[in-house]
Amino acid sequence: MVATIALRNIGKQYSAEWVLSNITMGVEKGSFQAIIGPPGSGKSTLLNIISTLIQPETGTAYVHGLHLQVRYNQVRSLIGYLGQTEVLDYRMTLIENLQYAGLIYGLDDNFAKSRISELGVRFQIIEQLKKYPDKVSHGTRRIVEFIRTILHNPSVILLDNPTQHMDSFNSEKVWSYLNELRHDKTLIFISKNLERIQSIADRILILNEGQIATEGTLEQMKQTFHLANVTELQLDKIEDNDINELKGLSGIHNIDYNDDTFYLHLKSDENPSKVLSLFDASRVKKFIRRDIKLEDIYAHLIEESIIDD
Amino acid sequence: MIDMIKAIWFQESRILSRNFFAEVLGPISLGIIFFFVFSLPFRASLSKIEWDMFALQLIFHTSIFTFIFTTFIRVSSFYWRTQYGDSSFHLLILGGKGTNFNIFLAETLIALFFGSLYASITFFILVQFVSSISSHIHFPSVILFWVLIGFQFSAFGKIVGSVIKDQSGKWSVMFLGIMPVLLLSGIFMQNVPSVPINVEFILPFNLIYGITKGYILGQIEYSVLLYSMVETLFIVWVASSIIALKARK
Repeated sequence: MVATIALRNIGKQYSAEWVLSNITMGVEKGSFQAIIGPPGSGKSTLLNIISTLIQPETGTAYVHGLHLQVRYNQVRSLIGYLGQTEVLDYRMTLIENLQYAGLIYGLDDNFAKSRISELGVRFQIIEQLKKYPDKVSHGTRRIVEFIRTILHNPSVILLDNPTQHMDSFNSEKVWSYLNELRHDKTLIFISKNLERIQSIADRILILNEGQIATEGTLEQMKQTFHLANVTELQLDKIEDNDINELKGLSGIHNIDYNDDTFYLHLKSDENPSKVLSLFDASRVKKFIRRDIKLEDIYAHLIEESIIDD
Repeated sequence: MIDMIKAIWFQESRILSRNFFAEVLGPISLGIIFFFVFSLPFRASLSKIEWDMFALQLIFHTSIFTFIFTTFIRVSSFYWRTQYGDSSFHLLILGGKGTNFNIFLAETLIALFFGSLYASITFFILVQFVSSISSHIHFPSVILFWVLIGFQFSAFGKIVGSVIKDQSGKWSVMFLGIMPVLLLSGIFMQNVPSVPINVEFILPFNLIYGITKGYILGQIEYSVLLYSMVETLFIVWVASSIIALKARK
C-alpha cells in the first residue's frame, strides 16, 4: 500500500474543547475514502486540516510524503478542496469566477479556457456559465464550485458534501465523473448519502465526538462488529414490553429501533423466525432479513439517524 | 506573486467596469468636495498670489486624501469580503500557494495603482483652479513618501478589514478615525512644515510633512524618510503576518 495521506495522532482544539483527538489513519493512493459522522463529530475539521487551511494542535500529517505544516505550499498545489460554504463572487459571472480561480492557481490561459469548456460541456452548464451566480440554481452553483475544485487537475481531491443542493440528475453526473477518476486521483469526501458511499467508497471512516468510531471497508466493519445481516421487524407500534421481550431472547447481538421498526442483529446460526413467535401475527406489518448496509453499521455505532441528500 | 496580481486585477477590473460610477467617481468627487469645503472660507480673503500658494498645497493634500481613501477602502473591503463576505480566503490561500504576504502585496500594489490614478485625476481637475504649480518638486522624495503612505494605509485597511466583522466598520474607521488624524497631521491645512521638530516622528504627520516638503520646497528629509520607512515596515509586518487570513472555526 502506498499512502498518499498519512495522519498520526491528529488533534484539534477550539477554545477548551477538543473537536478531534488521536486521529491516526492512512489513505491509499488512488483510493476513495469517505468520512461520515453526526454533526459536530469533526468531519469538516479533519478535511480542513488535510487541506492545510487549519493546523492541528497535536500530531503530524503528510500528503505525498510532504509534511503539511512545513511544506504546505507544495501540498496546496496537489490538492483540490471544496468546502461546505459557497464561495462565489456574485459580481462576476460564473465563467469569470472560474477564470479568476484559474489565475489564482497560476494556470496557463489556454489550458484554463479549454479545461473550463471541457468541464462545462461535461456537466452540461456551458450556457449557464455566462450568467451571474444569483441567476442560476443552487445546484448549478455547486457544480461550478466542483469544477473549480478540479480545474487545476489536482491529484488529491477533498470534498465536503459535494452534491449538497443538487438534484438527483446533477448529483449523478458528479458521482459518475468522480468514479471515472478512480485509481487516478485520491478522493476524500464527506457525504450524508450512505447508499452512495457504500457504492463508491473503498474505505469508510466513521467519526463520533472527534474520535474514530471505526475505519475500514464495509466487509471489515461487518466482521469487526459481527454483523452479517439484519432482520427488520415492523410492527403497528412498538411498546416498552416488546423491547423487554426481545432483550430476553437469546441469539441477538444488538437491537436498534425507531417508532415502529426493530433492526435486529442476530447471530449467524440463529433462526429469525423465533422472533416472530413473540408477537401476535396481526401486529406484524413487515418481516424481512437482508444484508447489512452501511446505514446499519452507522446506526449501530452512532445511534443517530442521518437523512440522505 | 505575479499570478496573484493577475488574478486580483482580473477580478477588480471586471467589477470596476460594472460599477464605474461608484468605483471611480466616488473617491474623486469626495476629494473635490473636500477641496471646496476647506478652501471656500479662505477664497475671498486671500489675494491671488496667496490663494495660489494656499490652493497649491491644498490641491496636493486633497490628492493625498483621495489616494489614502481609495487605498484604505479598497484593501479593507478586499479583506472583509474574503474573510467575512464571500469567504474566498481559502481559495486565495490554497490557490495562491499563498503566503499571506503575497496576497497582501498583490492587493496593495493594485490598490496603490487605483489610488494613484484617482489622485492624479483629482489633482488635474483641481489644478485648473490655480494659475501655476510648484516648480521645485523633488520627485524621488514625493514618490518615496507616496509609496510609504500607500503601504501604511493599505496595512491599516487590511487590519480593519480582517478584524472588524461589521461591513460598515471601515467607513467608521475612515471618517471617525483616519480623517481626524489626517486633519491634525496638517492635511487640508496650510504651512505644514512650520511645526516643532519632534512632532515629525509621529504617524502620519511625518509622512505628510515629508511629502509636502518634497512637493512645496523641493527638499528631501532623510531622517523623516528613514523613520517613516522603519514605521512602515513594522506596520506592514504586523498586518501581513500577525493579522493573517485564516480559516474560521
